[in-house]
Formats: sequence, C-alpha cells, structure tokens
Amino acid sequence: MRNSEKNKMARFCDFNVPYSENTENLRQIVEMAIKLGYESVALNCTVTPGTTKGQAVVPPPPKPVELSEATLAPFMVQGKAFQQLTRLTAIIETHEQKYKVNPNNSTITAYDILAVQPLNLKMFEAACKELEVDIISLDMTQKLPFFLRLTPIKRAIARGVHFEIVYAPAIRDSTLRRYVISNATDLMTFCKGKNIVLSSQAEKAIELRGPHDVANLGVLFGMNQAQAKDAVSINCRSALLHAETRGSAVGVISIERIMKQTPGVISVERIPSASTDKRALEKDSGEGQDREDPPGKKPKLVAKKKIK
Amino acid sequence: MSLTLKIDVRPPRSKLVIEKSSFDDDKSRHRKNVEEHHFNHMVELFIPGCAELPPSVQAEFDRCDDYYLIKNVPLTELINKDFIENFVKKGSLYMLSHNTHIDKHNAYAVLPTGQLILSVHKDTYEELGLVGQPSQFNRKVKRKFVVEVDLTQDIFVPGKKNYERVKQGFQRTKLKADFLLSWKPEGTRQLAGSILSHFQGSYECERHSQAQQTSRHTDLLLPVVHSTELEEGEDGQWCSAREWYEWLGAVSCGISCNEAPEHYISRYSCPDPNELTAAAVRHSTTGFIAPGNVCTLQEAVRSYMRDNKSTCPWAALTAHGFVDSPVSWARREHGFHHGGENLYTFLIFRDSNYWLFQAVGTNDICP
Amino acid sequence: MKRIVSKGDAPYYYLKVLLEFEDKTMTVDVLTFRTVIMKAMMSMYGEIGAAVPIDILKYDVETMSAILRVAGSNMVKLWGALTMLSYYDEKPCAFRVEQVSPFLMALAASSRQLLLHTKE
Repeated sequence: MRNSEKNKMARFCDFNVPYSENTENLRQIVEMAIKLGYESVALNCTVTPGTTKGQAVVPPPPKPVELSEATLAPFMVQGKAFQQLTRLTAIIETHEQKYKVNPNNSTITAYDILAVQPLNLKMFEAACKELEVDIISLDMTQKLPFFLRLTPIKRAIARGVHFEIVYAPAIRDSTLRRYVISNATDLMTFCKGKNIVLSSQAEKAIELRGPHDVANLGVLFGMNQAQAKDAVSINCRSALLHAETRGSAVGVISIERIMKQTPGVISVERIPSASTDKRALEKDSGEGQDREDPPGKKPKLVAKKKIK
Repeated sequence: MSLTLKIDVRPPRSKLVIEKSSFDDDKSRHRKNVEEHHFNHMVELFIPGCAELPPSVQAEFDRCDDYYLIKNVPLTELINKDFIENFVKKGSLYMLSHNTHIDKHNAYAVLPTGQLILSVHKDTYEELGLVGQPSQFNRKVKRKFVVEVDLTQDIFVPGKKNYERVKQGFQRTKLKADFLLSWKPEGTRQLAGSILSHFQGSYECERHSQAQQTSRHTDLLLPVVHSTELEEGEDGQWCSAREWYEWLGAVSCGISCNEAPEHYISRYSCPDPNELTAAAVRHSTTGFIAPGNVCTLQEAVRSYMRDNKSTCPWAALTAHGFVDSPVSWARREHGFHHGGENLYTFLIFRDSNYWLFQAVGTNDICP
Repeated sequence: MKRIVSKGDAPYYYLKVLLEFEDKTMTVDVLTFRTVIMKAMMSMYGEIGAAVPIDILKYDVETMSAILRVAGSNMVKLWGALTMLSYYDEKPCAFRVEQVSPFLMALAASSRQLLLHTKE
C-alpha cells in the first residue's frame, strides 16, 4: 500500500492514548479502541522540555502496541489496516522551552504528530501564530490561566492548526467535567466548531467511548451535527496531513493546482502558501502525478504558460 | 460572554413519509417503490390472525435467490467489455461493496439500470479524474463526491474517449472492494449461476443463501386501524398511522407491549384502541435481497389477503435497506450519519388499500 | 391517494444501549438499570435531567442491553449523559450506544453486522 493511502479515508481516530510503560493496560486500551470502531490511534508522550538543565528530554517515539491476530481480524477481512501513530505533546511555559519545539530536531520529527500545551497567554499566542505544531491542547480540567482571544485562534485556524478537547477526564470526575465543559464551550464560541479534535486521553480501557458517542458530546459542547462527527474523523486526518507537510515546504512558494475534475476544461487556481491544508492535498496528488502520466499532464504545462 | 452547554439541541434530522393509496389505483406507486429500492438487507412479513405462515407465501420466501460475495474485485473488472455485454446488459445486476462504511470509506454500487455509482473521498476523486457531483450532504466542505458511470451507453466501449478515461482512472487509483452480487438474467436461456463462473477463475467467490427466521406470537394486542384514515379517529375509534408504525417496530424488535410495566421503567404499551388476536406470525429473511423477490412476495401476500376468509385484518411487509448503500431509492444519494436508515413498510389491507411508510435518516433525500 | 411527510425533528428517538462494567461478573436488574440512567441524567443536568421521561422498552439482564425511548428533544441530552457516566456504586462502568434511530423499526435490522449464511 502506498504511504499516502493511509490518510485517504475519513476513518475514526483517537489521537490521544497516553503512552505508559504498563504495556498490558495500553494494549487493553488499544484493543478497546478497535472494538469501538476506531481505525487509527496515536500513542501520546507528554514532555516538559528543558526540565533537566538545558537539555530537552524527548524520548524516542514509542513502539506500536503488539496486537494479536484475533484483534486485527476485522481489518484483515476488509483489506484495511489499523493505524498506530505516535504523538509528542510538549508542555511549554517559557520562550526557552518554545525554541526546543522546533521541527529541525530529529527526535521530534520522528513523531507522527506534534502537539503543544501552552501554560500561559504568551505561549498560547506563540503556538497559534508561529509554532510549527499540529495540535494545540489546552489543559481543560482546570480554570484556564488566561482568557482565550479571538485573534490568535483565528490565526491558528487559518494555519490549519487544530485544537484538542479531551473527554476522559470529564468522564472520570464531576469537578473536572465541569471545567472541561466550561472551557470547551468557551473555546467553541471563538472557533465556531471548526478545527476541533476530540480525543480521549483515556488511562483505562473503560474510559474510552465510541466515536459516535464522542461526536454526540461534541454536539453538547456546541458544534453542529456534521462538525461534531468531523472532530473524530476528518479533522484528525487534516491534523495528520498538516504534520506530514510540516517543514517540508520552506519559504514562500505559490502552488498551482490543476483542476482535474472537469475534463476538457482546465482551470488553474493559485493557492496561497499559508494554507497548509491545501498544500497538503497538493502534495498528495502531486505524488500521484510523479508516479504515472496522468491525462492532465500535458495541459498542465500549457496552463503554466498561460499564467506567466 | 455566555457560556451555555447546549442541552436543548435538536437531534439529527430524519424523514418519515406516509402514503395512503390503493393497489387498484392506476397511479399507485407501490411497484415502483419496491423496484427502485435496490439493496435490501432484510425483508420481514407480519401477519396477525395466523399461527403459521401461509404456504404460498412461505414458498416465495424459499424462492429468494442466492447471492454471492466476490472478494477483492478491482473496479476495472466492472468495465470489462465481456462483463458489460454478458451480464449488465442481459439482466438485472445488483452489486454493492461489502464492509465499506459509506461515512468513512469509498463505497460502490452497480444498479440494475446499468449505472456504476462511486461514492468517494475527495483525495480519491481528485486522483480519479472523472466528472462527478459533490455529495449533497456536505456541500460547504466538499468531502465526498459521487461519480456515476453509465455502463450501458452505446458509446461506452474500449477505444472511445470516455471509456479510456474511466479505465485510466480506475487503473491509476487501483480501487477495489469486496462485492455482494445478485443477478437475474433476462429470459430463461441463461442460468443465474453463470455470473459466478465469470468471476470464479480470478477471484475468491462465496455463494450465500438468505437466512430465514420465524417468530410466533400468541394472544397479542393489535392496534385498530382504519384503512382510509391515517390520522387518529376523533372519538378514538382507531389509531393513527404513526402510532401503528411505532407499534410494528416494537413487535419486530421483540418488545412485549401487551401491558405496560411499572411506570418508572416504561410508559409504553400497545396504543388504544386495540383488539386481541389469538395468534400472529412474523417471518424474516436476511441477506442481499433483490427487489424482484420483494415484488413477488408482495403479490403473494396480496393474493393471500384476497382469497383468505380467515380473520387476518391486514399484513405488514417491511424491507430494510443497507445502511451503507450509496443510493436509497432509484439514484437518490444516501449517506450515514449516526444511522443510515432507509426502509419501507407496506401495510396491506384486505380491501386492496395500502399504507406505505418510507423512513430515511439524516443523510438522505426525501423519497 | 394521500401523503403525509414529516421532516425534521422526530417525536421520539430510540437507542439500543449496552451497559458494561469493568468487572465482567456484575449484573443489574431492570430497576437498577433505570436507576443508573436516572443517576447519569441527574449528575449531568440535575433534577430537571432526572425528571426527563425515559422508557426502557426492552431489557435483557444477561447482556445488560436495552432499547430506550426518549423524546427527540431530549435525545442529545440523554446520549451525552450516558456517555459521561463512569461509575455506578463506585464500580467503573460504561454505556455503549450501539444504534440510534428515530424509527423503532430500524433497530430490528443492522446491515453493518450482516452475517453471511454460507450454503452447504
């Protein structure tokens, strides 16, 4: 299967399964996720960079959980694969820590997804505006240490960065639930249900909930029916696409996309480089063009000339 | 700033269409409705007043055709010229991709009218390079696209531009799926099994038969309905169509509604007014059922209703569609939100009147 | 010929649910099951939530599975409360919602679990 094939579908994802040394527990969680209908999970490692003197302690990405054939049987039948990703969440408080989270660090790039948890407004704004991350995860189980503001959130959405809401703490305890609901609805008033990723952060298998159940929670938090379902499927996929293209396109470039949908009529659309999501798609279809000669290749050159 | 937990939110949308007509009416759409609902997963019949299923009806259930599961079929196989000439054009072919969840995966279907329908994700669509329409259910964010390829067109032959484009698209994307298949040849010269030999050489094929199940009820309360009145009677002489439909659903789910349990547990019981029937029978068949079988079954039930002098006041025939089918009725697009309902129920009265209930879920167009 | 089309909000919603305890040996009877649901509603929405009428149309003690009926306007509320439930009687548990539909009839079949019947 081609590498890009794995991201093609709107499969259900849980992008926050906390990684722990307790492999038995971790296996139970992943098995439960499969049973509930998830087709993709991300094992999450949380670090606070710079805790040891001047040194970012980033562990290498965890190995995927070994699953028995019986567990994977439903995927074998359907000719699909269960996907296990790795995710790094960096808790950032100072500028020094912020600089530790850079895409040139090979240990960090070894992870599939990069997330940050900003602890103050400065870091939050930095994460929204400039940091090359895929997911911004706020600790919603307590009163947020700062007020959310529209401008940085808008900027983050425009850059294709996603915000994460985790539900397992809300299930665990009623006080935490109050905070999660309050913070989630607060966030929703700014992002209008867009670019939200709902994930579990489940510490035990019993804390996981099915994707449709989670989508319904999203509706309670203020998303509409379609957005809520996206938050456990399409949005996760976009976050992953964002991760794949992170750092690969450097500098200001403008990409021309050939609209292949309408045969005979070739239209060209200029995509601003800021929109990473679209760039991701472009990259994807670009791969296909390198591999084989598509019918639209010849007109592509013509179209380029036209633009000049 | 207002922080509100949206506890008064509305549930996902759905539609229920209730139609009252007569089989004798020239404009009656009963046949069309059955024929256009291509992919049936389960058909069930409920006859009150009978302890056993009438033999003529049972015979129709037994006559339901077998279906096949063909694994890992590339889509290029479906535009194979021999396949189109020998099977698509020479009979009613029903094919539906198996185990593909339409809200998550690409899904495909071949309709007996000769269309190949692809419901694909944006990435696949862009790579495919064929003309299609964005899905009706998420026009704002174009995630899914529906592509229709008419296999029976005269100009859809190798060498023609359109054909080659489709072929290249399928080859490039390497789309494939497991397909459920049923084929009813035109005329009697060919055997339905010959389609199996077409695939057997190259693909893993399985032959399956429909699974039948009977449940019998005794001393069941039946809601009283009036064949010409859909609304509730003013003096409460009969139940409304909606109440009846809910009740039939309860019977099908095996819910006992003769008497309400404790108020704390449930307040549901058989709607008023009702009458007691000594026996009732419910028979179902599950699998991949072609509309042709449902048609003959409907005819059998109707002729039984006409001839029978017994006490059976009506009969109910329900067909459940596949939740992941890309079409519900005819070529109307279908999708899955929290449930991909597409089902219909005929309530057949003795006086050749009928009620038709068509129920669809969130992602579907009004039938 | 007469035709009635009802669009939009359905009067009732039906949920096929299953209660699962971490301790697999636990079972509850129908009265306790109703209490679990009531407590879930109570902890999410308080007294008003606890007062929402919910009907248990069918309950199977063996599998702790049930078919619930709730007014369409309360469906999201009930579903959310069931999702948020994590403990009953200090024992970890979870509700699994298997099917949701505005039509009771639709719960009688589920083609996603199509079991193929092989011909001998």
